Amino acid sequence: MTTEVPVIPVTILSGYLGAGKTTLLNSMLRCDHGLRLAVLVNDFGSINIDAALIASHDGETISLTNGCVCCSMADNLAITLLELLSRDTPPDHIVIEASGVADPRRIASYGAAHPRLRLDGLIVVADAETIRERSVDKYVGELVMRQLLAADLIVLSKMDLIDEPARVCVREFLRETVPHARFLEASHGCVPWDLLLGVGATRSQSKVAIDSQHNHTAPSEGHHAPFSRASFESDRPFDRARLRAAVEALPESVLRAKGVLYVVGEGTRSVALQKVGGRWTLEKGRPWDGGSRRSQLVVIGTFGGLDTAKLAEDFSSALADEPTVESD
Amino acid sequence: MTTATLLIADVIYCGDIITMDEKSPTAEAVAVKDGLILAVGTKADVLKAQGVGTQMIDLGSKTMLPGFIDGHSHFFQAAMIADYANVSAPPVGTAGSIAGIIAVLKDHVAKKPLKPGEWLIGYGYDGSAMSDGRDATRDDFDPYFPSNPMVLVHVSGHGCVLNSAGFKAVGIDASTPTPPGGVTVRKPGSNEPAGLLMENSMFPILLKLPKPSPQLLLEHLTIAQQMYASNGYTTVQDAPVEPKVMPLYQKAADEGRLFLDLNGYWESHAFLSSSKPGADYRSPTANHYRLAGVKVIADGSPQGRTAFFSKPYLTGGPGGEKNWCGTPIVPPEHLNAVVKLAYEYDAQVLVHCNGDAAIDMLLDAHQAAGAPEGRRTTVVHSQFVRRDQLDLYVKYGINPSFFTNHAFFWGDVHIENLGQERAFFMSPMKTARWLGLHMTNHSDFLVTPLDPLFILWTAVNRTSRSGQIIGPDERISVLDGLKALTIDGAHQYFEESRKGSITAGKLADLVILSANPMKVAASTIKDIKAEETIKDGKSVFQRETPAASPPTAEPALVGAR
Repeated sequence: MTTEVPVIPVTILSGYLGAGKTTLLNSMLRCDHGLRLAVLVNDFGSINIDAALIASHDGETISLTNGCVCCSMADNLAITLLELLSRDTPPDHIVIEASGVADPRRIASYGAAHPRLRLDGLIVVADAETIRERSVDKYVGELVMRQLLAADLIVLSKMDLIDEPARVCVREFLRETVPHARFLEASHGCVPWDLLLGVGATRSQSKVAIDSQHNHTAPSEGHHAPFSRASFESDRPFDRARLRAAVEALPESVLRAKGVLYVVGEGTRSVALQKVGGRWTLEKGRPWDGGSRRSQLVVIGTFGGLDTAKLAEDFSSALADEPTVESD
Repeated sequence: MTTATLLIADVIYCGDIITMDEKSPTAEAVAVKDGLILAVGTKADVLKAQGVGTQMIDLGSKTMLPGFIDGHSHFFQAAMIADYANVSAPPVGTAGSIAGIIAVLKDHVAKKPLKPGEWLIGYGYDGSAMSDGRDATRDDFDPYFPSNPMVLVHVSGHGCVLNSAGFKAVGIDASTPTPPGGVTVRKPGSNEPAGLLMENSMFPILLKLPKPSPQLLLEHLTIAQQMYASNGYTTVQDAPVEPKVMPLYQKAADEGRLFLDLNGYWESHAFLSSSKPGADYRSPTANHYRLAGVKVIADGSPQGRTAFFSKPYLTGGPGGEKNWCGTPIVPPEHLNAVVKLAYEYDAQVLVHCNGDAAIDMLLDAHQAAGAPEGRRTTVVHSQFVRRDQLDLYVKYGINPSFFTNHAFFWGDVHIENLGQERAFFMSPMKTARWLGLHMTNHSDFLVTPLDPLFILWTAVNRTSRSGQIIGPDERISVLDGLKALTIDGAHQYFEESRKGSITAGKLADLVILSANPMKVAASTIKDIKAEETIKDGKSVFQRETPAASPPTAEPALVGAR
């Protein structure tokens, strides 16, 4: 019987210079999200951590009083990842900053390479003011397009700094050039944590700042979030094939979904559903702890984009027909 | 040209001398005093400086040239591999078979016995070059190295071969799965790893390999200099210098550990964040060390298909990407910022550009920074420069530092990846010469071997491994090839008044070769060896007289006179 080794989710944060990656990373490190985050950056130059928050600084690692660490990858992502994994208390979540000209898929392959890591999301931040121009730049146009195409989720920053006609243009542009992408618009310089790091990743429903112009140091809780959330629960198990079809059929407005699910044929363990953007997986989850087996599914979508009634209906139809007597 | 007859030389060399001085290209004798060239010319003239204490040296059948000047390499890597065994196949090393590798390793261990548990590390392993027709396995090495962990790093840097003790030390065994993107060769009919690990399978090794301590590295600098000196270099380069290494070089200089001139260049991100105004990038070396400027790496390699081109590769990208032109490794914003700041500080700029689009980026950066004159901004490799870009080099006073060794090592690959037209114009030294550009030609060590005679051979012949001539029109004369290794090297470092030719008043930086490269058959230039290297008038390398055996792996360091 092998012991369960926790698998650490990895988020890749990609996007060209000036899009808002750095602001996002800085906020992630500062905020009180309750997660032991490890943020891997290319170099410490752009990281801006309050001296009061620094517990220790040893060459390539800054440890923060909130339990987070910030590591400089220098040149070697692989070594930095291995060192993190070999710590006595590995992080809860790893965020890797892809350089402005990197192809994030190469970095994502590191996540797939190690059995203790799981790619949670490939997030590309795009500056709404400049993305169209950048995508046709003679030097960086191709790589910017490749970044957009690689994204699970595209976060559009600085939307509130351009007027409505310009916003319409940007949305059009994305729909035309990256038709399979899911994009969301950062509102007032903020993005909800659970969109970035996954549903239930943090203890609060707060948001993290992406736009330095708004000067958010502590994301506000009370802000009206232009995203919808819906959940579905059931004591009855899912039929696996129907479940897959239901997940596949989720509309484009669904940005993230996460489920701890009870599926027919999996009596002893839950099945974990992870969906980010267009990409989803169904994998072995934790063993049921002797308690009742119950599916819990959370979905985050664009504001007004979730038809909660239809969602409930589609997932109900995916439940296995009665009777299902589980023999363990 | 006569010299002051009142001065008595320390040493006078008589024989075949190529001065690389345009005014008088050859000489019969050269007199050295206090580390400088006292006189050079006819015997009659130079012997006027002979005195009672003068050491007279007859060059015999050998030929003297100015000491070779490194156009571009990574000197620090020589320090890193100082303790490693060179298991490269010919022509880079001597190990053309698995038995050959074992012989190299045994020889290495005989000279420097391993302590218990100490790693035996080799570099340059290439399974495809083994005459055995297969990759080496742990079974090949275990009988000879049963208890010390052994790793042979693949020539690409992206793989390695381990022995059983090595696998044990890194904790990889039959139960270790092959990660996605990794290659773990296993024994037939078993899960047992056989020896070779590539790409992502190599991850665990990276953490476990020993890293030399700063003190050890300091000591390795001596071995690194010996490696360069044994190849005839008197001036070497490290570009970029990693931030951690900068104080090491300063310490080495302060402690008098340097005997060759070392020119270092800031790593570009560190330059932007940490360099300060007022630093002096122009003064001559102090204790043989000078921080001369900054190096930016703009793109990747053409053979790896990561060089940045204006037109696509014929073969697609390394990940199967279609319509692939490569990408810049740094954003134009970074390059522009570095060039601008460097020009403000009067620090020299070296930019690694292989593809023509990367060169366009550099030319734009130079222009955006006001295109100041006299900066001798150098494009390192500049391999696939376009004809129109060479005109801009002339206009802006930009120097290419070419890399004709690629014709041999990857010429065939370049034809495949880029088509004949682009491949044949790689490192276009003939056209550059015709345009009057100052150009150097380099090893990029560790990427290709240090040997400047091999570099000269590739410049003159441009023959690939398969025997194709990669751009017959761009082959240059031996003299032009030598300029790129001497006087134009000095020019690249703003040191042409002190180095690069055997001229009265310049430094006595000299190399004595086993034959005259201008007189031997072009195909045999690469067989010429450095017999002795002299820096500031002192012998810093002397090849041991062979008797019947091949040259020793570790050439002796000869002390000062």
